[in-house]
Amino acid sequence: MFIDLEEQYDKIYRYCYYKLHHREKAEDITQEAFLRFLENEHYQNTGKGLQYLYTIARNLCIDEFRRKPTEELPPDLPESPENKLENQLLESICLKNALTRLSEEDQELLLLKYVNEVPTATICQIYSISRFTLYRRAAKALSQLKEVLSDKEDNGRIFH
Amino acid sequence: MELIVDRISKQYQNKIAVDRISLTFTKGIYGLLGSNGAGKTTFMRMLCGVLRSDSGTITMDGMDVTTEEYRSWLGYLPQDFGYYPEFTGMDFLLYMAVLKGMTKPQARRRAKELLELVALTETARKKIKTYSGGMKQRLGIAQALLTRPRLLVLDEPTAGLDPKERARFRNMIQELGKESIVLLSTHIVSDIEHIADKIIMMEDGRLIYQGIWEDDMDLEEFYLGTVNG
Amino acid sequence: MKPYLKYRATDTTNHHTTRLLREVCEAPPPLRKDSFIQALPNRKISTLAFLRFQAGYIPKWIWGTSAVIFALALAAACLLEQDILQMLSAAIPFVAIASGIESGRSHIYAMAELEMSSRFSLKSVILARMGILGLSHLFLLAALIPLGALHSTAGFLQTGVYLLTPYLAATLTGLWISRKIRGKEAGYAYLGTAAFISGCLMYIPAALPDCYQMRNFHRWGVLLVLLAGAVIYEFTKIIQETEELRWNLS
Repeated sequence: MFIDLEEQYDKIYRYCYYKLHHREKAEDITQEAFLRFLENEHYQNTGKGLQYLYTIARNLCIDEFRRKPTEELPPDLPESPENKLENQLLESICLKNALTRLSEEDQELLLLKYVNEVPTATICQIYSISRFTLYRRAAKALSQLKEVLSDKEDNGRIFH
Repeated sequence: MELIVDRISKQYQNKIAVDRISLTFTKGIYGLLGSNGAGKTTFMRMLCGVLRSDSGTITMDGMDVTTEEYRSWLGYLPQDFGYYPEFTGMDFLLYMAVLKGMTKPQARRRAKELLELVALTETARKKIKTYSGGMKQRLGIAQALLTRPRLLVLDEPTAGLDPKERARFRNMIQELGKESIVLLSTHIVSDIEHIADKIIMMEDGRLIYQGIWEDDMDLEEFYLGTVNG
Repeated sequence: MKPYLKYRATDTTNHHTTRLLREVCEAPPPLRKDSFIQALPNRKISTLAFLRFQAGYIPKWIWGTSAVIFALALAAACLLEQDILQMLSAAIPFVAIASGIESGRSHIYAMAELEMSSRFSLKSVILARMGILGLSHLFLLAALIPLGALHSTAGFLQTGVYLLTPYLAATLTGLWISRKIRGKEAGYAYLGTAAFISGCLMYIPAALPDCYQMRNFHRWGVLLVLLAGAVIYEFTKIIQETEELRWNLS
């Protein structure tokens, strides 16, 4: 499977940033992951390129956590343009909060599946789960998020 | 990043087009000046592997000019370039991208990026024969940038561009000069004044001056009246 | 509220949620992407992919000509109960000329300079196209030989030689033209030579009725070998020239 480096750079970086919430470290790890991936011919020649790439990145992130235990970061405000509606901002904050209530792995699954659009088979290989498990967990996580959002709709109305 | 040109020469039958030129280039913008027949295009073609020098060597960061590797780091905009008649702007970029070693998905993404950079996104689907001179030139520059080259060689790139386009082009080149070696040949004085860090002057195939552009240089005199723009 | 609207409401929420998810998970743009990618050793398209790519750039009408000739040959062989060998050999030059045309295309359209400075230089482009065309012609000839021999007194070997000779003759002139004649006039040259060779083949049996007789076969053999040698020579010259073009001083 051929890896389009440029395309995957952004995606891996997004993944690392989500885990570490540190711009520089995220990019360092992204680059390190790519270097390790490219160094090893074996990784590139099998059809499992993307799986290896994410696994390397994931492991590097885990190492980073071990080295420096995370400070409990408050979910930061998403970077939003000034003209974003107050309502939308509220939604984003709610979603961010809701995400943190999911398990670490579930959060990653959602990121990989819906944001980075990683193929299902690859995600299953990275986390060593079956397709069925993936669908089940992703659907459950998504519905939990939806629930929070629709709650927010009710809550939002309170403020209006 | 370093391009080392060591005593290269080129002779055609009885005329010496390039006469034992040695130069070292590093990051930045170099203006190549010389009247017609001074050997600029021949020199540039040798840097691009289009012509082989009779003697001497050209290496960039250890890669010899005859290698594929060297060419993979090269972006070249010739003075006059053609295109297969059916080509649209996008077709052309895709074709060149693959020729430069990219795979199709890479090529497509890079082409889109560059079309945006040179403001040709709207006309990308139209055939090149419908393009104006300025548009075609922009397409040529886009093609030269496909592989994020370390060495960018531009032969009379601003010829045929209107002042507005020329200004835009200069800004682009200035950005590129921060990260790569840019060699551009031109007759247009203002190009040199505004963007070149160093200038190189050729005459009769020989290197007659290399150094910083001095404000009081009289290029008009140098060109014996062949200046445009 | 209409029932279908109600159904779509849940769908939209899913869509809405994933869209929101994408927004929320977005990261600030990376700062060092360009320099990193630029510093990486360049990765290359495979040779096979390159060949396939070049095959796509060979004009469709070239494939069309081969297809038409094959179709006509098939039809003639099946429907006409006569010796079509002569007709086939007269048609072959129009297929063979394609090699010359492909070889010259880069120059005619002034793409040569750009192609020469690329990683896959002009040489690879020409080799790829010649190779692909050569292979396709081989298949065509192989298909035409049995068709030609069907109603003819000539055996397979003879038919092969009778078809291969005009093929090589036309290829030879085509390659030569691609080297010597540039610009749009080349088009006329290609067509002219193909027509000329074709005409010769139609005329020869009338002028020299014995030429297809077995006792003259060795002459064909000699001609074939000479032509093959000349084609190889022309081809090498073309490749050499792609390595270094000779330009008029500008």
